Amino acid sequence: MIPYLIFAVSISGLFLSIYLTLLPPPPFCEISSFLSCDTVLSSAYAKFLGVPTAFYGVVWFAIAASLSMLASNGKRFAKLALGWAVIGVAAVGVLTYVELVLIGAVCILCTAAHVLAIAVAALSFYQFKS
Amino acid sequence: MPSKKVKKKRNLSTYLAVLPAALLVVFIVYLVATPPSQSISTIATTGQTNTVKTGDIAAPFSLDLIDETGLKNEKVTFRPDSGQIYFIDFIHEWCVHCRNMAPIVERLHQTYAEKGVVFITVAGGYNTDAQKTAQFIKNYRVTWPVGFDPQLEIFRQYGVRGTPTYVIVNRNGIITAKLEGEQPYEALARELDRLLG
Repeated sequence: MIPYLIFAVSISGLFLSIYLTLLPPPPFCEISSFLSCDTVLSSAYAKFLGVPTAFYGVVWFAIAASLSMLASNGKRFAKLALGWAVIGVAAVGVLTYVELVLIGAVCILCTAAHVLAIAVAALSFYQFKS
Repeated sequence: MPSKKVKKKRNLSTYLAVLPAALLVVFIVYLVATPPSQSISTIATTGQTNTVKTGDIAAPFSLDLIDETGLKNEKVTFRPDSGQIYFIDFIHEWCVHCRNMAPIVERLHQTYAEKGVVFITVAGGYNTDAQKTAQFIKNYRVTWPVGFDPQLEIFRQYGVRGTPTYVIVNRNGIITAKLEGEQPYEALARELDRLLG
């Protein structure tokens, strides 16, 4: 059951990241000057190495989804999934720092993606332990 | 020997494992074919009702003048029938792309104001206020008239979907260019040279 749950959460994160890569933030995302997706997504940090930061989310969630399924067939992939989850959590930490300290604004859709990444990581850890 | 049920489960897992990878490949191909334009800060509340385009007659407007000290008790008036060439830029003080473009617009102003081009900036009030806009004017040394559009009425009138947007109006009051997002200096200069030529 857990692998399918990780898969579902990862796919949700994948589609959210695709949305953030391709489309402008929706109006509900502009709540105040602090809670503003546009401020974050149009900042200098919206791109890393010339690629939209959200695209890295697409890659991370796609691989996390694949690993969740492969991990259900073997311990080796479960280890890989756990390692991948650790990378994801570290990235969430860095991105949260960038939002709060360097940009001074929070994008709620990005935060939703961060929550999904942490959920995937937590479930991967649980899967590995069990 | 694994049972039939276990085999079936493994097959399903394998198929599901391939699915996200396939999605990723399709997405990368799509991105390469149609890279997203992210050099504009979109405003969802404008641009849907009135799509102004090149060749349309520019609408006159009048806005409260704002400078580096704040709102003034004066108006910025745009009269397309005045026989002058106008360069109008729509901005928001919080828009990073507008900040990136500020030195380019300043350079354009230095070159073309003396050739008779009239520069007007329309600063929107979406998610901001006059005080922050005045700070932008100070920080980026905007020396030409800036009108403050708190309710984005002129943004709507000109179908501005995001900032920055540049509208160039010829001596007959016709819009000859409407450019959205960050632009190279040369692209804007070319449009003005065409009218001055």
